[in-house]
Amino acid sequence: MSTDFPGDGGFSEPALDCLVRALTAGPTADELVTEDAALARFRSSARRPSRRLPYARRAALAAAAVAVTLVGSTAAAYAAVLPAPVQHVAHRFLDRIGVPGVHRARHPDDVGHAHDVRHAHHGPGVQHAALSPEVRWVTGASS
Amino acid sequence: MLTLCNHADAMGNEGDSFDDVLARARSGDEAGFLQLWRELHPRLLRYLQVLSREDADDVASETWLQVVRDLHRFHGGADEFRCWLFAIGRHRAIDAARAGARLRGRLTAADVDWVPDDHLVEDQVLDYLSTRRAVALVAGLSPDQAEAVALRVIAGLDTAAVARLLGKSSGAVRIALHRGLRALAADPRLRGLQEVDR
Repeated sequence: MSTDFPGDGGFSEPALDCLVRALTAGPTADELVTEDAALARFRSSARRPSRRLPYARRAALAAAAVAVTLVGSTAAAYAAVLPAPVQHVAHRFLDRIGVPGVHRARHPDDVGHAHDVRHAHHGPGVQHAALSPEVRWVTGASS
Repeated sequence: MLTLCNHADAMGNEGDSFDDVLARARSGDEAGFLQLWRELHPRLLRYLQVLSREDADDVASETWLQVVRDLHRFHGGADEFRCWLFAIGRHRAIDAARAGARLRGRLTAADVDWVPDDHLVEDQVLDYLSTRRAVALVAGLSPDQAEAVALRVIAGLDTAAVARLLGKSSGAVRIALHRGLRALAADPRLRGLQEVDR
């Protein structure tokens, strides 16, 4: 403890010495009357298991959660099963980071419903190409 | 002659074994916690009595509750622990004051003129009376001076620690401490305390 009381060596007044002696005196009986209560609180606190996980374990769990989310989102984007606006953003992102085969996946504007996508790419267009001019005239399909 | 510095140093001398006691308390050892509590609770209570007389016991209980709860997070030695304890006590006292109690419900003249119980032996009476009177005298200072004196003398913190705790400069704390001690030295009631202590 530094001697930083005013006057370097402390006050020399006997009255102040007396005051300090009183302020720093040993405990009185009434000051220790709550000892049992304090001990009881300490016991209950010591018995109560901590619900908080250790820091390292919390960090590992958080990292695992982030990794699973990232992998899942990327896979979903690559498979083009995300809602159209999200898929559009995902495609742009995957394009930018150079993920191969993104263009071979379904076009983002077509996604949202796999059945519709297939129908849009291979349904009417393919059928129209295969139809003869006569059949096209019968069915009323335009060229 | 016993000086202020001797008192402050005396409180810091338990540092050698304090780390062991603290480590035991942190590991859940009741004896270690009790030793810690017996060492510091009376000082904490006196400091809180300087701040607020009415709810000092309640505030002290809340302080120890938080200490027990957060003990596993504490890192440091004896001085840091004392500083941590009194900082918690101060914050809880401020919370209590905000909750409606007056922060400076000072000890009144009736407390200074306290009449002891008959069953206490004479030495106990004298110690109790002088301690209560001394706390009452410190509480009678201006708020800044009272807290500086209480933290420096009762809590045993050094000036830098007091300054950090109060959010003031060391110079401001030294001035408050100096003026507070000067005011106490000039207080005629201090002579009565001196007579009781003899």
